Amino acid sequence: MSSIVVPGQVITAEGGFLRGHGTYIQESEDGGEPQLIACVAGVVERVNKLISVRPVKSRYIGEVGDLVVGRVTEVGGKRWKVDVGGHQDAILMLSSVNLPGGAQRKRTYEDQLQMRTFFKENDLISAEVQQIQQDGSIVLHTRSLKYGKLENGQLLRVPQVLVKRLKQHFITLAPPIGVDVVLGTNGRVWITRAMPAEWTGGTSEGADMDTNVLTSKAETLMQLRRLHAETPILRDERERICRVRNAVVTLQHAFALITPDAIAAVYARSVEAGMAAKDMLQAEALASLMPQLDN
Amino acid sequence: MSRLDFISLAGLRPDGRRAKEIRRIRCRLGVLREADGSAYLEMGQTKVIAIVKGPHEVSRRSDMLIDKAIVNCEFNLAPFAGSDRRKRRPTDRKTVEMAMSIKAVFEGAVMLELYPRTQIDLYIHLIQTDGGQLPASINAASLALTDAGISMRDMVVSCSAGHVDGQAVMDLNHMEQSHGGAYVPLAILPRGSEILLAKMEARLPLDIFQEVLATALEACRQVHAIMRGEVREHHAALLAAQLAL
Repeated sequence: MSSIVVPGQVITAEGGFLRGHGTYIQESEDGGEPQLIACVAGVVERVNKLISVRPVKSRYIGEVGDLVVGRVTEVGGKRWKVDVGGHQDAILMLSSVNLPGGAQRKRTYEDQLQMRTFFKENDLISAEVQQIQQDGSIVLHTRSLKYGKLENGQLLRVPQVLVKRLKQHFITLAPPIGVDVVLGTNGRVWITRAMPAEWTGGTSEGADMDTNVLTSKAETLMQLRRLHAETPILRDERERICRVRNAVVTLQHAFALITPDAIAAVYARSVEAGMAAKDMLQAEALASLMPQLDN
Repeated sequence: MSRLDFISLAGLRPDGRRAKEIRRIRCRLGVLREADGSAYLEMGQTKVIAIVKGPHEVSRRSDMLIDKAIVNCEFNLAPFAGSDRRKRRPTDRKTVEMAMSIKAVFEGAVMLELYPRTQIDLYIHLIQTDGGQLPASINAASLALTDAGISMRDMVVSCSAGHVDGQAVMDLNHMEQSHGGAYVPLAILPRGSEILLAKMEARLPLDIFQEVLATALEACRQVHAIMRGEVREHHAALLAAQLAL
C-alpha cells in the first residue's frame, strides 16, 4: 500500500512530471529539482507523465454526461439552482428542460413566470451534467424524457466515491425485488417501486422518430409518471423498497462500492437469512450481510 | 502548605510524564457518516470532535470571494467539559478568540484558491478539557479536513510547550497551564516547519523563549508522526473495503 499518500508528503523530486489534481509543486530552497507534493490523502495515479492523487473521500466533482440527483434550492430568472453535493450549487437553465407535452420551442416570458410549475424549491430532480464551467461549477440539463422530477420514493445519500460511473444508472432490480434505483453519480440514490409491466406494455415499441409520435410518447410518459406518483405504494412494495435501502446502507457502512449486483447480493443474503428489512442495520446483521474482508 | 512541585526530584511531572514527553494521542477519522469530514481526537484527557462541511455554496452571498473559498469556524466548549461548570455563550470572548485562531490557522493551510466562490465550515466541539484546548482543536480539525478530501499544503499539527520549575516542558495539562507560567501553543506545517500560529501571554526572557519554542516544535513533530500514521491507516482500510465486493 505504498501508493497511499498523506497531505504534505513528497511524491517525487524527479523532474519531467506534470502536476495533476491533488498535488502541488514546491520549488526546493537549495536550487535542486522542484518537488511534487500531495495535498490530499489518497492514492497516487500516474498516466504517463501526469501524476495526480485521487482523494478517498471528497465532494462531487462533475463530469460531462454524469447522471445526478439533486434538490432544487432556488428559483431565479431563467434558471434553477440545484444542490447536487458539489462545491457549489449546480445551475439548470430554463432552456435546458423539457416543456410539458414535449414541445420544442423557444422559451417565452410566460415560461419564465411559470418556472415554479416545472420545478419548485425542495423538489428532487434527476438530471445530466451538460457542462463544467471554468470555476468548476456544474451546468445541468433535463432534455430527455428520462430526467425530471422524482416523486413517490426514497432518497439516500452515500459518499460520492462509492458510486462509480456505470453504463446504466437507471436500474430496475429484477423481480422478485422489483424496485427501481437511480444511482446518482453524485452519491444520491433514489429508490422507488418499478413501473408495473402492464402499465408500460403498450408504449415500449415505437422506434420511428416522427415528431407527432415523439410528442405523444412524451405525453404518455408524463401520464405514466403521474399515475406512478399518484398510485399508493402497497405494504409489500414498501418493504422491498426498505430492504433495498438498507442493502445500500449496509454497503455504505462497509465503504463498499454500490453497484446493482452488490445491492442485489446483499438483498438476497438478507432474504436468505430470513431477516426482516428493519433488522438489517443491527450491528450483528451488518457484519453477516457483508462478505468477510480477507486481507 | 508547601509549594507544589511541577517537576519532582525524579524528573517526573504530576501526571507521571517527563519534561519532553507529550500526552497520549488517540484519534479516529470519519466518525460521523453524514458529514463531509469528521474526526475525534484525544490528547490526554482533552477530547475534541471536529466536523467539516463543504466546500459548499456560500451561505451569505455578500461574503463570497470570487477567487477563493472562505473559512468559517464555530467553536463550542461543552458546559460540562471543564472544572468550571458554566455555559459559555457563542459570543464569549474566549470562544470567539478560539474560533478566530483556528480559522486563521486553516486559512494558511488549506489551498483556498482551488475552491472559488465556496465556503468551508469547521465545527469544533470540545467535550472534555484538561489543558491544550487550542492544539487539540487544531489537530482534530486538521484530521477532519483530511477526511473530507480538502486540499491542504500540508497536514497542520499543533502542540503546546511551556516553562515550569525552570524547565521547558511539552504539552501542558490544565494544572501546569493554569499555574501562571508561560504557555505557548504552536501550530505548524511540519514539512517546512512553517509556523502558522504561536501565542504567548506571559513574559519570558528571549533565550528561554527560544528554548520553549524549540520544545514546542519538537512536540509538534511527535504529534505529526502519530497523526500521519492514523491517516494512512484509515485511508488504507477504506480503500481495501472498496475493493472487497
